Amino acid sequence: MTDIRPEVATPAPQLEVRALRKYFPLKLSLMARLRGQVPETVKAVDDVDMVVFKGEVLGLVGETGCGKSTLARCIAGLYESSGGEIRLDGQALSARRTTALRRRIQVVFQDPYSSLNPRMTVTQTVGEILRVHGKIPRKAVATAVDEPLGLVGFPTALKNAYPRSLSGGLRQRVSIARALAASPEILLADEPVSALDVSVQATILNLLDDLRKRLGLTILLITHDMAVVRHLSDRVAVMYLGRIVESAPSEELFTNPRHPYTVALLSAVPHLEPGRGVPPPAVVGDPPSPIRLPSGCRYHPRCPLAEEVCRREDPPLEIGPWHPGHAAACHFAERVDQLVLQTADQRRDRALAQQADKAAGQEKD
Amino acid sequence: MSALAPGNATQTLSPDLLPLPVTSVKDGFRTRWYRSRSFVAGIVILGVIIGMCTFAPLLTPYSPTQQDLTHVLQPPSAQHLLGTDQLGIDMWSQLLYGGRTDLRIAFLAVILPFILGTTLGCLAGYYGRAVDVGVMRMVDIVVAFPFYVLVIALVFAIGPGEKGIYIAITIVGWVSYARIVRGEILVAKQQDYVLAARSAGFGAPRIIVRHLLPNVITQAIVFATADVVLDILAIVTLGYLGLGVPPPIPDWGRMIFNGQQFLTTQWQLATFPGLAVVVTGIGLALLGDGLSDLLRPE
Amino acid sequence: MPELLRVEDDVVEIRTRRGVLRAVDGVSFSIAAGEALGLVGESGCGKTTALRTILGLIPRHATVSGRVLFEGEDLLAKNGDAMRRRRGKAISMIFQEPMTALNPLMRAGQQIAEAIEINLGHGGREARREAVDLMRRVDIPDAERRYRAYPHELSGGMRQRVMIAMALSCHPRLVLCDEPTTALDVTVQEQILNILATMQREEGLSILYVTHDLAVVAELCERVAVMYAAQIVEIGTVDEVFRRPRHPYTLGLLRSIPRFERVQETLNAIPGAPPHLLAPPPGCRFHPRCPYVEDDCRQGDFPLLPIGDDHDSACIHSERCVEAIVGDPVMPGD
Repeated sequence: MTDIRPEVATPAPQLEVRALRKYFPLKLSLMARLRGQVPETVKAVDDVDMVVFKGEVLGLVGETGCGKSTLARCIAGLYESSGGEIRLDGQALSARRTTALRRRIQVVFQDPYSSLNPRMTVTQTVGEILRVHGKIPRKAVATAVDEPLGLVGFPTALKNAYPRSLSGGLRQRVSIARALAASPEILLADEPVSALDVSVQATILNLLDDLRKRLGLTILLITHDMAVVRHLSDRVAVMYLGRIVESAPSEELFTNPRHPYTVALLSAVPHLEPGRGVPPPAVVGDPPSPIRLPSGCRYHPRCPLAEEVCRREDPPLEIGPWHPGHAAACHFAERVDQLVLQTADQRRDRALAQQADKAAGQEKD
Repeated sequence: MSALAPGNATQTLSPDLLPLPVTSVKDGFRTRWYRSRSFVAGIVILGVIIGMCTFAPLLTPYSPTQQDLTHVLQPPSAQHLLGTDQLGIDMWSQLLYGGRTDLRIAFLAVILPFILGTTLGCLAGYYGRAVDVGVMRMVDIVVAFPFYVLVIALVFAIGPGEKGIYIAITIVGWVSYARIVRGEILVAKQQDYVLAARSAGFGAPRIIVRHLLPNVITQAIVFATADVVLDILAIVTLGYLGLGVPPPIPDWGRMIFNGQQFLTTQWQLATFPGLAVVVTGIGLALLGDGLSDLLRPE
Repeated sequence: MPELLRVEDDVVEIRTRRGVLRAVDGVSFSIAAGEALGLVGESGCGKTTALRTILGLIPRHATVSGRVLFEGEDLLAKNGDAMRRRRGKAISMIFQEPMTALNPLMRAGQQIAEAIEINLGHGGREARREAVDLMRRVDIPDAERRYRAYPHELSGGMRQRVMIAMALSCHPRLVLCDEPTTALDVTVQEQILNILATMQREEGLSILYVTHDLAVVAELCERVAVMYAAQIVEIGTVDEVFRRPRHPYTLGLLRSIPRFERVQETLNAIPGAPPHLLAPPPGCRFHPRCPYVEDDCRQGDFPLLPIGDDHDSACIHSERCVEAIVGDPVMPGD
């Protein structure tokens, strides 16, 4: 087990995840079982250590199949984990938890169109939480919902509307209001803006930021959008195939990545900079499936720094000498800064070559 | 500029609401029901049939049990609109009062399977595993028997009469509802709003009743309209086989049985009850069609 | 560079139960040979519909007017069908969801080979060879083996590459891209963009790329058109439009999106929401949300007007944008 808390004295974490596992066994058909095939498991979350401190925004990033949504659902109590533990302020959490415990972690989902019951009005949706958790009597609900709705800037004139009359941005606000109505301590936001229009994303992101400051809310932000993460997070954890491969304070991760996958991920993010050109691809092929995991370090088949040890041994997530809060799971983490420079050089050369090509092409005409 | 203060939000966000009314399931039903041709046609047909059966005493002077052995097998005439049968009983009255019987039983017979099947389907779909396996095995057992074989056997065992019909149809008919509801619940369970309800700590009863059932029940309701047709056919068949309501209570099935021997002479004795069944069936089918269109949320 | 495609005054009208709606309202732009043009906007702005008019993929209850000149010939003219079939080989399209564009019951490589057989008339074995070749060129590793795979056995990125291979199989001169990387991971997106950029460079391919992601357009395209409420509000080189935007919507958009390369304290969201196309506001369609609105914005027509070298804007007060950028440039280091 690795300690990824900064060595500088800090308060105890609010949420702790230790050695968490969630495996999904794949069912075999009768024929396959008769043939003696062994059922495979999808190791969606495979030995994850993570801490979240009170009042911070932790960004959990990764691509399809990395397990971040599964991890979020284990924390939210929607899945029973296959191993390891989750602790909230020291208290162990399983999927069977009391209502009082459930109140403290609330979730906001990605799809504004399926996250609200289409047959319940806004008042009913938000009011239900107030009745179950806040024990507000039925008569008082109509006015009691004004508070959480006001917190998210939802116009009270619309509170008896059904979700189908509302735009994506408004629905997402209702989802957030519903989560807030329980007065949670931790908000799990699973791709909260990915399904929204670009200009609406800004309002919701500003809202989350504001809520965090006003209410002292802890936010676990799960997303694949690096720009969103960089904008909102205090710390970032990068997931790959069920493991956290790097975690660090936000700017530290983006300026000094120490895992080759993080480097590849960061270099692939498009920048709104004319003239930069399309970067040469930093990784080859697609991420392997979580069913047949590579041996040793699970990134080694695609890693430019891979050596024999990487095929044999799975590197632990360890804090490095670069920064007290920066941990990476790589045997050669200290060499990664050269990789960053290489990638940057490649990109610059490529951009210059492309510009020269274009200039030559234009001269010909 | 922060869009957070509610006052600002109203100003800046009201254009979010579509300026034109959106049809919803509820207002869809109120404002759109007349738009669905199937629905209207179904309602009209059923309305006429049910109306005629209900107001039978106004539409015929004769009683459906009154025998008149001096006027047997009369062809249609001014006194007897559809003639008389072999016991002199007026056909038209039998048709109307028989409709009362058959329709009433059919509509009532749908309710118990609906409730039983929906409940079991909900539990099987929501809890899964042991509950699901148990319910599905029961389904398998019932489904293994052809519908009529089972119904007839049960009615035979219990004895003729209404009670037997209700019990038999319930035991056999809950299966379709269970399957439909279970399937819908398996899908609805994965919706984000259900996950939100679970993670918010709502208990299973609340989730099933408030969040799953309302979104799932429409399929069951639409099926129920088709089920009424099946039940009418079943009741008529039982009547034909002599296992339905015993005489002298009028019943379309028995009318067909009695009338079939006179097909060459007084063909209307067997044909009209049959037509009545067909028209009712069409009416219900159209109604079900229209309902499934209307109840579909936008 | 010679002009390859010119769209003039494209209008798509859709009759709905509540009235007539213009999904595309007078859109005009052109693409030169070997050039990549990005068509950006939010959902519902009409960019996808505009793209589809080029190949005539408009639903039957919609009417299209205007001209789509491809190498001088109007694809929307009366005998457009025959012409489109002839031109079909010169224009290809890639969609967002490769799973719906690929036949799930046919092996992936075979579908590429089939496209080659139909379009180029090459026979079975040669078509197969060319298909494998194409698969290699779009960076599908182990192409020989992947030829025999079914679409559902391939990952999203692979399927998209198969679709690109099919689109490129007939050596088109123009490729229409309808958000092809929106549903893909960022590393896979980078690979796909690379394939497109390479094709553009090596084959002189022209690209029309529809997306809501401005950063992708900044990387891939030379020119960009910004759409709002079924109209183009600004068009020009990527450098001009993104560094010196001259329409308040473009500027608002640039200021409201989280930028990876430049962290901002707060994002300045554009207040309000895009208008419903059944009842767009009079005058400039953006005026209800515009921070620089004036009285003369509330009525009249606002066509694109040139305001610089290859830079047109529909805003009659575009100098306000110039002022706004002075203290707060859009690009870092400007």
